[in-house]
Amino acid sequence: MTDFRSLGTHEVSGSAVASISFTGLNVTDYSVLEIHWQLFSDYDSVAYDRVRLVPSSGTGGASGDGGTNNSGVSWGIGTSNTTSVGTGNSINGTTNNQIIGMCIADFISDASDWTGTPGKAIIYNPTKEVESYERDITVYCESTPGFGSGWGGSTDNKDVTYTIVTWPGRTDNSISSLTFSPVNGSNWKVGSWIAVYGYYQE
Amino acid sequence: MAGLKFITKHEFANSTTARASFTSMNVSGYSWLRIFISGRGTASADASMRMRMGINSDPWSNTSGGREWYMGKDAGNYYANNYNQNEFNSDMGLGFPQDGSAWSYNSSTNKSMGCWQIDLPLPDQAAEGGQVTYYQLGYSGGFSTNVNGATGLGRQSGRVVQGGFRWSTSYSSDMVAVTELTFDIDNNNWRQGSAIYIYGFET
Repeated sequence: MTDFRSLGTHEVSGSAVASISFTGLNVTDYSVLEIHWQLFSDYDSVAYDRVRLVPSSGTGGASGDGGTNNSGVSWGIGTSNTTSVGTGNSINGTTNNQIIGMCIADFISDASDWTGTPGKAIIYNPTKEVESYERDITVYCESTPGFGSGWGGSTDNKDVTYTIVTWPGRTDNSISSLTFSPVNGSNWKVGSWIAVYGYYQE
Repeated sequence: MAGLKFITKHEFANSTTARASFTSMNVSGYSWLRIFISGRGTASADASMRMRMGINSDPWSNTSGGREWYMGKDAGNYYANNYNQNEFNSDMGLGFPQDGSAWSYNSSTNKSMGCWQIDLPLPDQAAEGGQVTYYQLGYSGGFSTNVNGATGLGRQSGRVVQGGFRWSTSYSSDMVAVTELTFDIDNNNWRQGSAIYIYGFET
């Protein structure tokens, strides 16, 4: 049996949904989670959107050790065009227990229909505590920027975007659920898809 | 059916270990290794720091000239780095995390953490008629901190990189099997809570 194991997949069908959740997860025996998605946002005021991940359990509390339950803070590579690639600013989280900046195309605008492109996140899930503190979880994310309203519809070449995001707070709790919702939009459209895998450790 | 297999791991139980060595490795049956590193900030003060990775040497004796290529902060420019040692640059390359004032908005409450995925091909024979006789790897990862603040961490602190590294030690004929991998933090120790996980893709 392979040690790269599926923990669940979900595809939006019928009608759009505000969020996609994976519940009842047991990731204790997994060193790393690997999540793949294509998420179509309904947000069209600005032609890009981001993914918000809410780990509805396994978040840290205000433990006073630096692991306060702030939002994840990320830093990304990727910006509006190839002439200034890599100059994107960091994203400072301001909402508790959410990770944003796991972007679809966070630094990208000026084109339409740029959502729904493939992205992935790697969640590092160590088991050991950090000295006297709780354990730290880190997320690496990379995403493609999206496509214009048609193939070649944009004159702006887009960079692949990368981020490193800290988990909201140190925690000894195991991750038991993951919820994905759009930051700017209201819903994920039909056809949105997420798959969650784990690297099993014996 | 061939797939991915867990091989080994090291989870740091204290903050006094500078080097983790995986010895007596048997990579027979694997086409390549996938190594995950979940690293915690290693220093309490801003300091130069690097991760050194040795292959079939303990600690990292094959340091006669590795070469690193990477796309890092301010990417779009592409950097090649030659340390003449088999280590990853702390400033512009793999960028191992460290706690320190230069990294943080508020160093008293920050934590820095990094994560890397390293893919190490395991060829059985040298390429190009025996001319290309080096182990090499590709990686992606970087570091971040928990710090929220007006200045953020981005331009100063966080770094996401993708890169490649080729060892300088050459093998005269067929590639020898990997029997040992070493991960060393130069100038400091791995902090408790860090972890290294090694998986193999079966042939």
